[in-house]
Amino acid sequence: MPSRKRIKEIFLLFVKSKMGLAGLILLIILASLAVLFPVVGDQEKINNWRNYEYWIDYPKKAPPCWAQRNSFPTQIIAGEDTERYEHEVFRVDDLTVHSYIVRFIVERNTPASMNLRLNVSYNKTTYVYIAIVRPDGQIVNLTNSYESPTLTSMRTVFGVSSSSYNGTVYKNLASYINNPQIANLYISPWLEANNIAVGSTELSVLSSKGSQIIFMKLTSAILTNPELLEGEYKLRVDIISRDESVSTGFVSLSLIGTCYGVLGTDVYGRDLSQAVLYGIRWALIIGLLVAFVSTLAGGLYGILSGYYGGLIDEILLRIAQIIYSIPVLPLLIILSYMLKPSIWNLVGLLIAFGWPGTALVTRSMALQLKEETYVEAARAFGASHGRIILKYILPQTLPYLFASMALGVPGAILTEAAVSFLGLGDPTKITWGRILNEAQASMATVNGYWWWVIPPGLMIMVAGTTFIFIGYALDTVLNPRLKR
Amino acid sequence: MAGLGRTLAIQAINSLIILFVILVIISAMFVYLNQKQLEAVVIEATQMFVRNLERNPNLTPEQKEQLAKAFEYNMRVRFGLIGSPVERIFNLMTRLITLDLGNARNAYLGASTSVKDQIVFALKNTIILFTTATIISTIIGILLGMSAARRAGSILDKAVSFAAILSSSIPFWWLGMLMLLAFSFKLGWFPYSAKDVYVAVARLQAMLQAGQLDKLTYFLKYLYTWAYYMALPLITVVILSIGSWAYVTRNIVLSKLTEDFVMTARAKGVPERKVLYGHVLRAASPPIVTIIALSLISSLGGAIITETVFGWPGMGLLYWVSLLNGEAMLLAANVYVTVLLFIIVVFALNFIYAILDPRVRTDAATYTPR
Repeated sequence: MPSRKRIKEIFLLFVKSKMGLAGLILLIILASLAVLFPVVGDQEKINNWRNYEYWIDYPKKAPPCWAQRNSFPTQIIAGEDTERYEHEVFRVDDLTVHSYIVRFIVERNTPASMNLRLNVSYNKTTYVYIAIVRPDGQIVNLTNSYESPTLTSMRTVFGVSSSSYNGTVYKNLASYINNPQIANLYISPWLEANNIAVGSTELSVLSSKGSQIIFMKLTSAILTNPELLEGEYKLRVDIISRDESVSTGFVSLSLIGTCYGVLGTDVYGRDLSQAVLYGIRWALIIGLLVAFVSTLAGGLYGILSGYYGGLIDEILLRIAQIIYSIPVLPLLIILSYMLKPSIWNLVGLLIAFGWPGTALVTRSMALQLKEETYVEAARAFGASHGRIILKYILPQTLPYLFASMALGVPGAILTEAAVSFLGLGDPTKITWGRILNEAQASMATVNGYWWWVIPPGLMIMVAGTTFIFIGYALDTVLNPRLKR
Repeated sequence: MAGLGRTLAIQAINSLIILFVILVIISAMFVYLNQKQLEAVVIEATQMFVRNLERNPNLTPEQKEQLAKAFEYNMRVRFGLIGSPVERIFNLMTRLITLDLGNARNAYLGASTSVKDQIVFALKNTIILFTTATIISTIIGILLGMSAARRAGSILDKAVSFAAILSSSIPFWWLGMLMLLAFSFKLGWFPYSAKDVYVAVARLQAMLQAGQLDKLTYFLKYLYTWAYYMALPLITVVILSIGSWAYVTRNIVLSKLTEDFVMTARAKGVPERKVLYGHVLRAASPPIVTIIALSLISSLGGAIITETVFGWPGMGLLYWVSLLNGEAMLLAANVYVTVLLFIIVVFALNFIYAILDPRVRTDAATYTPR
């Protein structure tokens, strides 16, 4: 076994080679992303990956926001984000008011939809007041205000009974606003109060584009040539009830644009960046596990075969050659098709087909090594076969084994991706191959969903390159004869 | 020459043993697959039959049960599910060996339902695509590798190594998807699916027969049609193969450059160009030719996923389609033909080596497929 000093020396040499250093840095980045996923990523999204209900508010097939410069960046403000909204309870005469003020940013463009979800529970007549408070201080009422003679009932806005209800209420405020009646009742009075005349043509504009107009700069050209008023907006929602024991809870406000996050979304609206990030875990697990086990098993197998020689060698070699000659991918595909699709089955199969390459090499190494004088000396001293193999032959093959372990990782990652790409992978695990499989199933290439196709493949490439760098660097450091 | 005969005999036996074992494995697997899929079909059909029987008021329950049993037995006979698994594996093996492949339920690729015809059709297409790709990428790769070896350590040399590393960690089918995105979706230069190549060619032929085209234009248009449908898969395969070809050539050439005959040639004053392309390349060609032959032959299995992505009607697509349709015979024949061709080529290579290089003889361990 190499001494500690030798190991340090090897490490320094390894780091000194550009490839080794690059591989090591990449590996550290990948490994820390994999380990720190709960911190860096959003575990909740991964847990809900197959729960399509969870993604219902997210924009579907939305490209990343850095690629769509003029689309509203999707913001989803959930009940847990307590710093994004304020909650107050007060009384007005005989009415109990639960008031929520949710802050959100409007930039680049207006949200395509604004989905509001609240939990409410009441047993007497209940009203609702909704308004948008703009950065310029303007307040746009979307329902009757406190000053008006009557308040707007829950039924009008949310379509649930105004006298008694217990559950979640939901409204897409954008489509609520884009309505001739709402335009006439609330939006045009607001404009008229600011000295902007609203005729019948203007009213028809409002009834189709009202949800955009309320985010525009208040100028005389607001209807003809609107200009976006960027900044922090507030949505005020008051639940006003005659029931003193009314209870409410803010569930979410989803402001949806046509782009999403760093890597966009898929057809179900799922955040692809999370899946791509999470895929590192499985890629590393599969790659390292398969490479480690198959290299070690193959290495020992080859050493045994070469060391014992004779008939044993002949038989072992033949078996290894047969497995080596089998076309792997077709059989792997058919076996994955026949077996229960599970990631561990796939790992097992990859190991089962992956070991013979190493075995053939270590066998010929062992054939040479067993003739060395120190092995003969050990034998003369009466060392057992096991001792000779483990103490004198295996250590000599370790440099090769380490290098081929590293070089075996990309193959395993690529093959897993290939099998998953065909839809034969584990449906419960998020791997890069599976993301690409879903992209292909949604005809991503025909529809041009590039943000769905490029990142997973790039990650496969980066992960593969990392281990090839490490393998090559190890190879040159540990087997100096190869240095050129 | 006794040594040569013995070597060849050993190698032939080796190859036959390997072929036989693989045949057993394939047959067992596909019999099992067939069993699983057809069993499901039989159960479903029997349930249908029983449901229909329920509606018949003239039958007693016993009669119904008997009829259902008879129906199920008949179905099993029809699908070949009677008999021990060993027997069925043996049957499949004999059919594969004698190439008595029968018919598939459908014509998945080509016009005929015959398994043999479909395999030949797919093999032809795979050869058209992958042989062309291999030829192009080897030529470019070898030239690149030679230049890299000549200037070891130069930027070109480093670029070659880097390209080799990159291309060995990029999935072909992913690059294929990118190509489709760029050249089919964005630019609209090439078609999404290559399957229609035969439709386009048939249209050309019809035009030729109708006298709308003269022979020369027909020929040019024929070539153009193939190029048009083949371009994307071809470019994809070539791009990802060049790097490794260049790298392998570079390494082989570099190892030859340190040998004595190179020094001798240089000492004699042979121009460097001639040393490289005359002496070194000749010495380096046996391993390069081996790799070319092996990669050509292993490409015959087609690239299952790459062909699926591009819709190229080759062996890989045939494999995938027959898997989806549960065509066990088509699958088994597909794998068998690939393995058979592979083993024949490996044997032939060993044979040629044994004749050319006496050192190779007797050691069975030099058998290294792939």
